[in-house]
Amino acid sequence: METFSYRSLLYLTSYLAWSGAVLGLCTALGWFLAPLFGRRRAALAGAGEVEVAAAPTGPPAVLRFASWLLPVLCAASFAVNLGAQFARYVEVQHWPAQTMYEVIPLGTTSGFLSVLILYFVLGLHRRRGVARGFGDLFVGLLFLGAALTLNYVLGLDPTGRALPPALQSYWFSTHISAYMFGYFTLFIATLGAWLHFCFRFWRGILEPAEHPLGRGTLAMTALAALIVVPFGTQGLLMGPGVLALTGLIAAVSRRLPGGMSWFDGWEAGSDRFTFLIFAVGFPFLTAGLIQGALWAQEAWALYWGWDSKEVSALISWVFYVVYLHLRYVAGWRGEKGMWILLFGGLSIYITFQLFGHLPASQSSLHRYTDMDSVPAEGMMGGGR
Amino acid sequence: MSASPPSAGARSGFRWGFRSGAVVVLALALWLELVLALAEAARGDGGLAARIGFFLALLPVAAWVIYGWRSCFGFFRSVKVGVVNLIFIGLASIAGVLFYQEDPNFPIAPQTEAGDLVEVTPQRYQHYQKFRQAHAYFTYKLLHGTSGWLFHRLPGVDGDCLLAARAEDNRRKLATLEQNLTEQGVRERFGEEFTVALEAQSETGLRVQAEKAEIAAFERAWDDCWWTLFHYADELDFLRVYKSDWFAALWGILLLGVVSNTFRGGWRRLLRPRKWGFLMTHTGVVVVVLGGFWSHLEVRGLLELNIGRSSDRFVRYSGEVTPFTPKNLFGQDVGPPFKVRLDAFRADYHDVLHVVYARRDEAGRLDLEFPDLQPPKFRVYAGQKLYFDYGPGDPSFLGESRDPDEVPHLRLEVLEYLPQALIRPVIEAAGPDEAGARPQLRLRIRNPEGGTDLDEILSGPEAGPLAHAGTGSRILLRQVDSVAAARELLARAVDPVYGTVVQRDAGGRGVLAREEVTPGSEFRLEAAGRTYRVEVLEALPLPRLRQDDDGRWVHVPAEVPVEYQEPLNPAVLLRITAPDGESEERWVFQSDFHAFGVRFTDLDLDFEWDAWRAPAARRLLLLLVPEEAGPALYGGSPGDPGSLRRLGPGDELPLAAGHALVVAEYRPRGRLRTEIEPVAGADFFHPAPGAIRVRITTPAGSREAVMSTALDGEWVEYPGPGGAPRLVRLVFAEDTNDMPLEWQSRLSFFPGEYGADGRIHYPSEPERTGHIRVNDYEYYRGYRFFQTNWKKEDPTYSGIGVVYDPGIETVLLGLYLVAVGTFIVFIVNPLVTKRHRGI
Repeated sequence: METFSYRSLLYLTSYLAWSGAVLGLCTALGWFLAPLFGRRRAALAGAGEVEVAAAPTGPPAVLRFASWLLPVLCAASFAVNLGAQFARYVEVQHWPAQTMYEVIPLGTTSGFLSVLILYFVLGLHRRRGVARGFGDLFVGLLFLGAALTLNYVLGLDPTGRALPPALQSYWFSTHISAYMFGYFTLFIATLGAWLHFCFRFWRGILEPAEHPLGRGTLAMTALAALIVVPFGTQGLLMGPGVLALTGLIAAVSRRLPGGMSWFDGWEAGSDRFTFLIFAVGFPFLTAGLIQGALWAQEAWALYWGWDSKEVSALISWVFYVVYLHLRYVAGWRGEKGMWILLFGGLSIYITFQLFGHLPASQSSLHRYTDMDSVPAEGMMGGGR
Repeated sequence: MSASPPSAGARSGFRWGFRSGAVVVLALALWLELVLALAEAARGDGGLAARIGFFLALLPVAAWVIYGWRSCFGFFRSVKVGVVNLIFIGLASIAGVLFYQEDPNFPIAPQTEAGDLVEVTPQRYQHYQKFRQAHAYFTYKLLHGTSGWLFHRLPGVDGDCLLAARAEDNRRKLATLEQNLTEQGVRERFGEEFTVALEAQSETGLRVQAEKAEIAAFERAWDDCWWTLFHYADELDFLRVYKSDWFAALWGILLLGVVSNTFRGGWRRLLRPRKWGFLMTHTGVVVVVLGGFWSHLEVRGLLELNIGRSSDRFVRYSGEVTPFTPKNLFGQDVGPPFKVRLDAFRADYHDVLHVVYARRDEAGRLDLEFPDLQPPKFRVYAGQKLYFDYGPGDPSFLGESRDPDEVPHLRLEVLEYLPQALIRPVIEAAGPDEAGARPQLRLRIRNPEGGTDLDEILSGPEAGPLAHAGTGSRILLRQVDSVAAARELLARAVDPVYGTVVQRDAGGRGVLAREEVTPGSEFRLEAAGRTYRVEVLEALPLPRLRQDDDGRWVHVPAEVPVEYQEPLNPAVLLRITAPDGESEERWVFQSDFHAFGVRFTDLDLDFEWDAWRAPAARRLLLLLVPEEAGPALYGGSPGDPGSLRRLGPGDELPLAAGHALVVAEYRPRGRLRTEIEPVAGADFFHPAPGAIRVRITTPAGSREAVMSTALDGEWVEYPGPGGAPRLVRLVFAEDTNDMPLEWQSRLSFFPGEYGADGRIHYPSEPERTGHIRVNDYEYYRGYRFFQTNWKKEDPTYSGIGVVYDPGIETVLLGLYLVAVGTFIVFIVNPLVTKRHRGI
């Protein structure tokens, strides 16, 4: 394998993402556990606050340094992943978004960029105490998601394919890149909402008297955890896995002097937290949709062909438009709105990855499935 | 929209909520469906009942609008109703992707009834088949998941999972593949990416084979269920959601809702800078929906032309032939149709480099080294480096830093790639001991005007004959021992022979007999114990044949004599007579493809044209005579020994019709190098072949090679890891098995005018010419022309999509408004106000 090939750089990105995941989870654990060891009890004073909370005394220097490494790792992952995309551009001589082997890493590139932007937009760098731990957990899980995704990609067919004439357009790069940025940012919003519901679930279980769990929330949390299980390792880890991890953290944090009171601050700010992520991703989703229409108009003088992929993308967009309007007009803030964000992620996943299985997709111009794969029979018939 | 002001509904005493809104939105959608159905019936043969029904159906909504206008107004102004409506649009769209949709250009034929029997048209059944396949596939994917437990509990489905049953076998096959890739050295030869691709494709392919079998069985087992689903989905318009009236009603409600909501609270409010984004976004949505309704006047079809042909009409997808008539804003025809001509067309295929490893067996015969493997092909670009054959070795020959255990022993570096290239061979001086050096001669034919009609290189010591049809000349290069031998050879006249008839054995490989032929000659051939008499009736370099009234293939005499014809497809006409007196007249072609009029199948005949001895206006014999400094060049005319003379660069020999053969360049010891250069001024339609210049680096050395899609490939021999001999064939070719890289057309447009005679006249010169390619259409008088189809078997054919759609510009305007509005709302406003306050 060549040193600066697409594949080798993807490997490097995946190593960086695994490092970020391990580091994020360790620092999160460190921030949660630090008060237990009584070294920086004062750090608890600012714990749980979503807005800037200056702790009376500073956290352990090594923890602070390790936390700062997270955005640095994210920047490095973004740079290497971007480098991989450029390497692929040279290898296949077109914007690398023709196969899933190329599109998904384009998405992880967008995801790293989005995390980097959100790190500062959401003010994760200003947090201290358990709130910082929560931020690190969030970023660590995003790294984990990216690492699992890249691992999956490295097992895909790496053959570079020729770009059919319909895709030879300047819209090809901007349309898909906008969608990827929108998709992966909205996936991040989904993860934010999911973390909220996971902790809310465990709080309801562990502190039922003070924070009773409604049947609806219980059912929806169970549904959200299980619905992703058929999607393989990623689904298993990001659904039941995250639920179990948050359960562990919640159980540990019960031993904190304030119990799970740190969650009060998160609960108060989670709506704004997830909305800000949405506000970063939604314009790109809109841009992707509009560029698709402009492109189709140039290619076939048909701005909207009701192709099932277009319709799937429209459904996701309508999903978020409904969220936006319900939030502002009908007052669906807090958990009500976050449920929409949570299932919005599912809608995007269907459009992005499962679309090829839908009945209407059988005649779609956007259909890329593996049903035409041909095994190398000659090489499987026994050794020579 | 940061606060929710009281709605008009509130003033009317009724406040629209999600539930009431949902009921009325649904009712309105169904009402529109009913009204339009009744209107259709009233226009048709529904009679009075349909008309009364139509007016009765209008009444409730008319009453609501007139007597409950506050409530009606409040309905459209209610944001909750708008949200419900959006949810309905979303749900309808979900229905659209959950049901296999009919192609709007080819609607499903309605079901017809004949007596008690339901007739199903073939077109309807074809659509049903696609529907069944799509839904079986979807249901399978939905229910099968990873284990298949749920799917295999379904009634009618085999309880045993084929995927699970084949799992062990597939694992074994994949293990064998991995073993073979390693043992046969494929991994080392082609690198990791190639083997990962093979493994991934094979793993998926094996799974897909089992899936396909399960889906096909499921499809058949549930046929009745699919048919019922298809029938009801058809009845409820779920097969054409986006064209249905109820879906249009939802968009209509959205349009009215967005209009009334955008301006709620007064227009002055919208002029505040913070609201500009909101105003643009919502106005954009309104404009898009309005444009979408206008697009209902759309006409769409296909124009199929061959180069040089024109048409003033196209075929709609519905099958209707429609003239290119300019239209007004309402889609009505105004003026005579215009005409479109296809001036040029070309489909440009990908140029790919195939890398094929070969080997020689004990007998020296060539064979593929990996016969079970599809050899890799690469689309090339300048600066590309391809590496093969990894293994232990000294990497110094590459000039790159490498792990000594993983040294690629073959590197191909593309130095230059020209998609359209002029290929020019160049003669270079070779060193005295250089291997492969030989006499190289560049000849030109100068025409009377001083121009060059032919420029060719002959590589000695023997080459040719070179035929030039324009002058009827033949030129041959031969080697002799001395000047005396040259003179003796030149003294011999050339016997006129047109070619040789070759009799093949039953397998078609062995030669049983060879006979030199001229028209009128006669000979005998033995086959299957019989002796045939063969008379030569015709021998031609380029026959043009047609069938006469008796079905016989006869030659249409050419306008130029035989000596001035290019021997592009030489053939001979033979009369073959059997011992029993029966006979046949057979055309035998040099190209091995065909023979016409074969009756005696035991006679397998071929024909070889003799380019030197066939009739010629002039023959020139060029002779190489050994000398100390290298062979000297002499030349003269056969049959005229006195014409022999020594030749050097610049010397000329006379040809027919004022032409002359010029010795442009001669090197007794030279080598050939091929140069490529871009074709000056070539546009897309120029048919020049693609070419590459490649540096081939192996432990044996480094050299450059030029390859073209119009030339043969290149052989490379080198020592692989451990000194193992390697033989590689590099072939640069157009990949016509794949879709073309691009295809383009050049069109001319001719406006029509009514003449005094009432007929339509077109000018001789086009009003406009346009160039179309995929993603770049041409607009002319309301019609858009875009590139769609090509045919590999007909390089002059172009399929051109035609669209008349007056709503496009409006929709585009709306889309731009939405884009700019969203940008302002989500990016500009937060940056200006330092926080996101919402819309």
